[in-house]
Amino acid sequence: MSRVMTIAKREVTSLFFSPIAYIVMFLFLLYMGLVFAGLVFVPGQLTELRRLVDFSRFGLFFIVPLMTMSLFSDEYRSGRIEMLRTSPITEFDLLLGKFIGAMFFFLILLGLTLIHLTLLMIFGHPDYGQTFSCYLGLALMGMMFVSVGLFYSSCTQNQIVAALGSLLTLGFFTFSGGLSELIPGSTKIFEWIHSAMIYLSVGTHLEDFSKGVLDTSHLSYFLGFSAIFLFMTYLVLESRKWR
Amino acid sequence: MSHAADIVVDRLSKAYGAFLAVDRISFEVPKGTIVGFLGPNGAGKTTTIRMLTCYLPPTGGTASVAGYDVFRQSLDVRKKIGYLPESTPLYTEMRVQEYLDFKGKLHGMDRSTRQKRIAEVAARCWITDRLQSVIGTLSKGYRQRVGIADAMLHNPPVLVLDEPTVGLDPSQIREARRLISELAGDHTVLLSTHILQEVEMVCKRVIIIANGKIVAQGTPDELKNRLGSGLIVEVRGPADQVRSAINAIPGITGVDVLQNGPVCRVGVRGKNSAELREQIAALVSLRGWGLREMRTEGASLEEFFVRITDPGSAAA
Repeated sequence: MSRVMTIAKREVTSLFFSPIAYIVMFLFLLYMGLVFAGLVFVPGQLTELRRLVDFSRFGLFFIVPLMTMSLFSDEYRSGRIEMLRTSPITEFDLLLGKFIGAMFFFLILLGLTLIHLTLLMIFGHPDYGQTFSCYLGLALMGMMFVSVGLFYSSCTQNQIVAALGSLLTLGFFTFSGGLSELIPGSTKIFEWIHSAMIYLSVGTHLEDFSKGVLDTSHLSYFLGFSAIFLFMTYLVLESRKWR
Repeated sequence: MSHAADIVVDRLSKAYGAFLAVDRISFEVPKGTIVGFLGPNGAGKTTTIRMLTCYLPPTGGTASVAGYDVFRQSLDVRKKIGYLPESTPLYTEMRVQEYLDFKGKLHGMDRSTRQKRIAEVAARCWITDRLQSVIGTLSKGYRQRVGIADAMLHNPPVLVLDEPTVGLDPSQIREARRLISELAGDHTVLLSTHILQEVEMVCKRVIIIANGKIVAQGTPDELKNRLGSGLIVEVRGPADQVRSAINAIPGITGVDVLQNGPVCRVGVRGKNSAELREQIAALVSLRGWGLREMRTEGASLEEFFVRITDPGSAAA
């Protein structure tokens, strides 16, 4: 476990050395600030983070790939993967370390939204249970998004390809609900696709969290997809040894 | 299991599809010795080294390092090996001390051991004054030394160094060779290099690999003696004609063109006798060429290497 934390710690410090980290933080703050100012912090709205959280995914599906694109791609391109593979660490250590490092950075991003929470607290009384649930939802969504980003990064040494792959996949998950409206619900198969797309949509599952409802079915969605993509990343790492 | 040899390779192969990069090679590196690993580019040196350090899995045969199998006990092997890859990959945004600390933690060293060892290897590799420098700002030579320090950090019984003196200035090369020589006894070293005189100076044994196969192994002296002593003849005349003419003399085992041009220099192998030298001199003047120099010379490892790895010639 200490090896995992060593890798995670190194990853976080390294992320902050890259200008990408600051661009990511800037874009995130810009987006969330605009949503907050336009949709949350206006007269007539309830004092809650709900709309901020609901809309966050439209920003995050774009921003998280920028954060994760270099995680493995950089190691491949620089040849450092050779140093890592010949060190006494397992592929699992490496995967977990990178994931924890990226998640730590994501949590720092979430921490930036405390400014919005503070503003709400000054001007009203947000419900703390709901607030907790909002952040939990954001963290879980972050876990899933980071897993997807990590997977694409492990597939290629080209950061742009990794970012694009993540973007397209996360875009699908984000807009799946909206896209399902396009499916004509005439026949049985289309009805099935329609409900499948609604299930796959992040919004469907984030909604309850932002309302303050903790439903384990949504937990299984986020944890499940995170696990799937992390497992696929592990498979890619293992298979790359044989090329 | 204990073994007299620290590295044991048995019919090791690496195939990329139909292409055999490494073809059933077998060799041993005795404990505490420094063995030189030589070969032309593309011979399979780096591939073999990568299999020993567990970066690539073999597709055939076995290899074991310090008693552990590279395929089945990969994690144990990696604990016992210090590896300097050819490209010296480092985290360029980290400081030297930070990086060595990071590697130390990966090897499971506790804080006090890490601090002690970092100071020790930094001193031995002459990077103490640069411990706080960002690696990206260091010259190639310094980065190379950080890589060597990294390989030595956890005091592994086996060191695998892929071109460790590339990028060092001449005085540093000398010191590096001294450093590597000093490692013998306590450590087993496999040194892959192109620099032949380095091999002669530092290595007790030499393994030469070409086209994925081992073409020669032995001590440097043994290999040089296989060629026998020879003659160097400098003649003003067309190189290929000179070569074939001298080769035709009975008793000559081989002629290599060492230098081409209006005046050519050839190395002549064979029973070096006075009669042979007279025959060569007579032949040269008969053909109307100018004989400028003829001297006896001891075989060099370079000549042996060139001959043995020349695809045209049969193994000496």
